[in-house]
Amino acid sequence: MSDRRNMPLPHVRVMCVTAVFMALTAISGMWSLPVGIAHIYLTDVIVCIAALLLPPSWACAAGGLGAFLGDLMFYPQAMFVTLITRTVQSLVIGLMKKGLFRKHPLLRDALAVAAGAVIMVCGYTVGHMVMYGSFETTLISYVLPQVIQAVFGAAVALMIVHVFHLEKRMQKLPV
Amino acid sequence: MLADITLGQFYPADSFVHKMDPRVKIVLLIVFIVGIFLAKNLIAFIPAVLFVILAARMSRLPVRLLIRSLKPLRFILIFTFILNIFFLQGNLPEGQEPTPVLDWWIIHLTAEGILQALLYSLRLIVLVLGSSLLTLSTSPIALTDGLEMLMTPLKVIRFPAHEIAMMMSIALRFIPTLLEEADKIMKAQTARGADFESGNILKRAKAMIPLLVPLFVSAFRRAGDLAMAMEARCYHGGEGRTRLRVLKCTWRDLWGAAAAVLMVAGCVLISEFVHII
Repeated sequence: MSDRRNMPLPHVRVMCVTAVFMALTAISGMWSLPVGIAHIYLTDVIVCIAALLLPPSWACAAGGLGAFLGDLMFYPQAMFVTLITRTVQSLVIGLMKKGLFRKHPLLRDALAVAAGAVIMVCGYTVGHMVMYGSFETTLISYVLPQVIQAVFGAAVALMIVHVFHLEKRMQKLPV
Repeated sequence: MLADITLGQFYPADSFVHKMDPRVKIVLLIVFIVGIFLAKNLIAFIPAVLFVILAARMSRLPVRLLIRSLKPLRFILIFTFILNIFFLQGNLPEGQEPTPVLDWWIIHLTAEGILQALLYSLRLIVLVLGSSLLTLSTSPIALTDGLEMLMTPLKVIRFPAHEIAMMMSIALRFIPTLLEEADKIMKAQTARGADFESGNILKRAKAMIPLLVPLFVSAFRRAGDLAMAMEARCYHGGEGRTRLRVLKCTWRDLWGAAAAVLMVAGCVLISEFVHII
């Protein structure tokens, strides 16, 4: 039996899936879980899932531009920081998924989303430092919630992709 | 409920700013951001503040809408200001000592530090107002059209500008649909006993899975249907496609660009020649 997972995805289909991921990423900023006085947004979950399921360059569009669109509509002051950080995060996750341990997919994906989480925290920390003032202020007010959000996003995305076999479900798309 | 949500912040009006070319508005926002980051003291912020006031007046947007865009930031503004006054000492020339305001135990407040904290808060307020002016005066579709046109020169380096713009348009079209879908799934799962509102973080994270997995499956199905429909209509990319809305620069855009250049020049020159912190 031919393995559909090894077939290259047709261009239009990947484009549509990427667009839908972009929309999901854009609206994911509206869903959050309150943790103390901070909120954990689901954007990280969607960005990581998109990066794990799509080819790297398409993942950049889904994560980077999707989050950029979300910020453009609801939180415009950070949109350029988001665009750069999310694009790099998606690219790194996508490339690591493509290039690392092919025989150990869970380990490979875990390493990829962990690297993505580090990039997300560093990117936003630098962005906030530039926007809001000093390093100490950023460290006290932003870094901890971001670390929690990044770890949460990476773990939930990994769980959803591997436990619910989203990759297989995506490959079964009719075209 | 969720289907009635306004997409983005766009406020339709018949104004000078609304009629400007979205490409020019995007470039002007970038120039504006560069300008406010080049302003090194409170006096140098005057051109940026004047620019925002002028743009807000010419956009005929209700003031309450602009004020509302600052509302989500009120805690961040207060919190970062308070933290900044403890950590900032001001950009003093070498050899000049800061003016102490409070010196007790580990707390050292200086007049220069307070002014600098004020400068950062003002920068954030002006940044939010400037960005909000763009999103309030430009529809999301016009913004994606503008972004596509700005990305067009990148086609030289094989950047897929058309595909990116097409995906952004599809994404914007899908946002209300997916919100409605998420709402339906949430109601269906609540009827089955799912609880999205209470419990600790792990419990809440677990509760999100019955929402996210069906949402993804449904999103994949919709993407598949859309791809099939596009292929059935012989979609073949951007080559030779015409546009419904053709963007055109007018005298309004020239005035806008001139004002932005003046603002940046003002910020830079005042920062260079006036030193207050």
